[in-house]
Amino acid sequence: MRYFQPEMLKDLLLILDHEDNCMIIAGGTDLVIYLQDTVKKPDSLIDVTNVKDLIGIKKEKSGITIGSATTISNIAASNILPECLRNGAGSIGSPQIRNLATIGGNICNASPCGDTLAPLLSLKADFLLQSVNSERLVPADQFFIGPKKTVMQSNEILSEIRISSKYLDGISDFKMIGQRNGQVISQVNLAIWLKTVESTNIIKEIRISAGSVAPTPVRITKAEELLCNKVPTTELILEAAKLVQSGICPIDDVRSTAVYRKDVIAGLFQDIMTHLLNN
Amino acid sequence: MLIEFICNGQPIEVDVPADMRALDLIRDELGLTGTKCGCSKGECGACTILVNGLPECSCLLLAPKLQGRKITTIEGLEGPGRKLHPIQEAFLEEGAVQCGFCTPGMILSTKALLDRCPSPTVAEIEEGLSGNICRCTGYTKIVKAVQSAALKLNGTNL
Amino acid sequence: MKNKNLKQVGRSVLKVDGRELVTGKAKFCSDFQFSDLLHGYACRSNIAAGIIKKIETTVAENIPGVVAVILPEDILGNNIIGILPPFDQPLLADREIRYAGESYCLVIATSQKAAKAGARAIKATIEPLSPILTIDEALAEGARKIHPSGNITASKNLIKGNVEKAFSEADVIIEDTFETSNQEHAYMETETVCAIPTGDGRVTVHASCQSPFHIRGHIAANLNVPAAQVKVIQAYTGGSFGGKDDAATEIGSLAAIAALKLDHPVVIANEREESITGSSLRHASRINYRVAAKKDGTIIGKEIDILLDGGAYAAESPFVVMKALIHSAGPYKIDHVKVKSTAIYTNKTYCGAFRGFGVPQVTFACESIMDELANKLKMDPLEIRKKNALKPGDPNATSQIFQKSVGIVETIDKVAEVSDAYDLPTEDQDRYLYGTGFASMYQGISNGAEGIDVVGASVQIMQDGSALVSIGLTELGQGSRTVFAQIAAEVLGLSMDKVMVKHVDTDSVHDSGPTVASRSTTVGGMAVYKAAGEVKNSLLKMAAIMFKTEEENIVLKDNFAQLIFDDKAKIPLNEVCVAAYWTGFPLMNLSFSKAPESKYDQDTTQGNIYIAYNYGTHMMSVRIDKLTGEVKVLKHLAVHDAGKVVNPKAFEGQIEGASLTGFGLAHLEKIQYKNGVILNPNLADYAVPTIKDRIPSETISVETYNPTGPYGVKGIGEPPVSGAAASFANAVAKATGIRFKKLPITRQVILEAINRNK
Repeated sequence: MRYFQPEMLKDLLLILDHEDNCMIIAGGTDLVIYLQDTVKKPDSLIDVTNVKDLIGIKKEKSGITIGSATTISNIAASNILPECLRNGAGSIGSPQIRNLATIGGNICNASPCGDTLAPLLSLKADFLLQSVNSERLVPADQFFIGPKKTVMQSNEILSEIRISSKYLDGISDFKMIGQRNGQVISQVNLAIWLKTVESTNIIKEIRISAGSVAPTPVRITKAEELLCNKVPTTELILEAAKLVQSGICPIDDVRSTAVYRKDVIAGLFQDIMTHLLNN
Repeated sequence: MLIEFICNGQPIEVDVPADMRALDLIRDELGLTGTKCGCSKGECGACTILVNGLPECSCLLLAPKLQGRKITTIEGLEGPGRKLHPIQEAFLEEGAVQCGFCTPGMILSTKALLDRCPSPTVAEIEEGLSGNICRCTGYTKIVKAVQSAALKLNGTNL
Repeated sequence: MKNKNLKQVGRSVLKVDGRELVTGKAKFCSDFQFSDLLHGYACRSNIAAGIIKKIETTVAENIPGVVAVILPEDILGNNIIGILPPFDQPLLADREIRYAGESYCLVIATSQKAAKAGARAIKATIEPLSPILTIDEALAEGARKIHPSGNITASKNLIKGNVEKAFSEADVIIEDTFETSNQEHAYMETETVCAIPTGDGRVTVHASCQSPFHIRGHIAANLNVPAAQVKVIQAYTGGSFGGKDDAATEIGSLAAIAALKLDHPVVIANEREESITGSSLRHASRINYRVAAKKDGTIIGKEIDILLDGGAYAAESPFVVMKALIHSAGPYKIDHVKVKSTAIYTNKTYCGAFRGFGVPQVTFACESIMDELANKLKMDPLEIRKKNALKPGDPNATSQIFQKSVGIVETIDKVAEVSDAYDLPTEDQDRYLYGTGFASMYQGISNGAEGIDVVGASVQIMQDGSALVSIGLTELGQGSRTVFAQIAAEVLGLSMDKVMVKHVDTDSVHDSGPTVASRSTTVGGMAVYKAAGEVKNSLLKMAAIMFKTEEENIVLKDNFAQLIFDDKAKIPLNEVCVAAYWTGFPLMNLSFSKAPESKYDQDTTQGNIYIAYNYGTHMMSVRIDKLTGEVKVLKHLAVHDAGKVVNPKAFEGQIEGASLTGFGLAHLEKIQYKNGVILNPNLADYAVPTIKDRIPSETISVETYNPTGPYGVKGIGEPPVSGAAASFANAVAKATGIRFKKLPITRQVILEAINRNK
């Protein structure tokens, strides 16, 4: 098997375009397991983690740009990033996994329980997809089309995650729950971003996204509509929690039941809202 | 594929298949069997090594990613003259070792934690070692060992 | 043997094999490296039941690196594993598959990767049978027979007194049914063996194992060679907890067959998924429990029906049936007890030994219903336990009477003391529920009804005054090697650095059976004690000559032989050893310790079963989140009467570790099946506790003096599992007001029940 470690983005894209039967490797935390079990091994691997342009978190006037090969632990530790994305990243796996895994890997793997996905939806992030002779910006909420399925073409890579500055002046948080406290795979996760009208408690804008409750991460717009332009009283939050519950269609799987997912998401929702509104 | 890296302070040059896991390279090519294979899925932490000081599961790390890096395995912790590292001493003294299989990984995760965070709270210890599973000890003495190691390394003896 | 002036026993000495573990120098089985090492990988069924029609190996044999395929016909001997009748488990399935994960052939190759690829390339035609997946399906009229004998593996009865009479005289009768799920050992090192043909017609098998002598016997039987041709060395073993009893025998035999056939060393190291699906689990259970009591809380009768789902093969089910039977009535004095304990076959992974061995399951039922009784009678849960607790001189459920070392009341009193001083938090009661639960339990020490309990050990002292201990019981992390070193050091007056304990080697000592039943410190300790004692006699005789006095005037202490009445008169022990050697006193002794045989009626299970019991009471306080079902353990106290504690730190470590395993059984861990196939054979979806899930266990030892163990010891390895699991269930019941009758009581189950109750 050949292993490419390009240092320039243009070289990466050229190799990707040129090689048949190749796969991209970022951290490898999903791919290495896949490679051990599969009979259909690729002929070559292209490692994205040496491309400096793909690593780093930059804050500019227009917004934040995150290199797709930035490790999850760096995402979790960055105080430039909104809290929901930091906490989502910090919930992934273990320190060992977070040091190796990348945000691009979490996104492109597109597992319904990926913990950076709901935050990116709530932050209305855009993903920059590049190939050797094209590039396009895909909004996060159009990127995921099914469990482990995205709109990416085989000669494209995800190079940047962009969060526009107009979505950075709110507050956000993320919560998830699993079977245990450590090394948790989400049974449910929830990311909420909101902005209040200045000097008031009135919610001006709110975005609520959930993971592990549908084939892709989803926005729960009915609950958002209820809360928009209102003062979030305890009763309103409870009402919104019910809408969150009815706004998802989870399944039973090896990690959890649909009933539990519906039950517990209300608790996560109330916790996040309480935390956000107390600040 | 030729890979050059530093292992426990020694320069290494090996020619291995590109899809070889660092775990197998370390154990089979370098003969350093202190790093253990527990699950091959990054779920148990028994294969933990330090890569440029950060803990990673070597069962998920492909060998080419070691290129130009400095790695530390459990064998690299002992000082000259077989002197135990304070973390190793602490684990022994506190009874934090039972069957010992999780111990190399647990000790390396401890080293990474204390390098980053010399006086960790209990919550920080738990977070730092959350990737290392132990089935024998119930973790209580492991937490004590980390606290004891922190004191030893900080040179204080309260 | 009273305990005065002990120097090593009772001290938290460092683990004697600890240094090589913290440095990574200890070689586990898969760490051995040979230039001509071959690897074995098993083909395992992915359906739960079927008839094997054909196995095609041609494609596999042509995979690069593949050297051979071992099929059932290559087994020259019996093709059987398992230590108990009915001996129904094949080494390699040859006609029928009875569980998903069962192996039917082994591929040998130059690397594990190649062997696995070879195994994947084996083409097996297996005609599916409709799998039997539950106890009820197995017992249904007309159900397909999983084995020719039917679907009942084993059944035993315990009859004490007249239970019908008791129920007719009761003021209060309570009845309920409890269930527990399978549990996976999840030791960090999976099952691994390395078999090496030694060129002299013998084969040496290094095994990560718990029962090296069983392995030896099985290898010989499967190879059809004399057992004297087989040597088993227990390698450093990364945890076992009962799980490497059967599984190590299976792969040990396979590796030995391959090694001798190919004349190469062969290693087999199970992958994690295989370890979970292929090797044994804890029995799931359904227990119907009836209690007859007087209104003052005295329990006068119990009638219990235990059904154990034992999976596809008998393995150790007959023993688990027995142990569950004997312990089900709890550590209480009850005059009338009737128990039936039955193991059932189903088409799932076979069940075997796992820390507790039937006692956690019955303790959960016993202690849950005890709280129900307390609630009904409006009695304090600790008071009702104390009222019924066994005291010295009381006959227990098998009518065995212990005059000494029955510390259950002391453990209850100690817990009551702590509990009285502890206040549950009261914050945030809109959000959280708080509760404290208790459980009392006991666990028999020694093999008991499982048969002969013997241990062989040897102690030799060298001319330089250092000693080597060899014993047939295995170190699995629990610290037995250290305990044996402490005992030898104590007897011989040596400092710990002068005593070494070697690996278990079946050539060197008497067949000591399996390291189980919390028997290492007692029966094993006694063998070391005796062997060391004989060596001590030689040294005393020699020192007496050197001092020109009587032996009674000499004591061995601090690496010296010294006069009792003049502690300045001392001779370094190494000088005594040299002199003893050259005078012809024997400096090595091979000893044999046998626990008193259990004698009981086979139909009523009345009689003397164990050499002692460990007694314990646990307290657990929890906080439950009403919105998520999450449980935080605020306090956990484990009080045990384990006799004399040899190594306090190791003792705590055993309690902390066993308690977390019990907590996992009660709260976190669930094997999930679909059509008999395990859906979560990994350490993430099967929620083994991480450090963030730990419980804050505190330990108190209530030391009694057990006359049947050296220095008064008993054992501690297993009992805390039961105490932690049962006290957790009671704590959750107290906090929520809901009785959960099935383990695991996960956060999910809790939230769903709270919401249903609203």
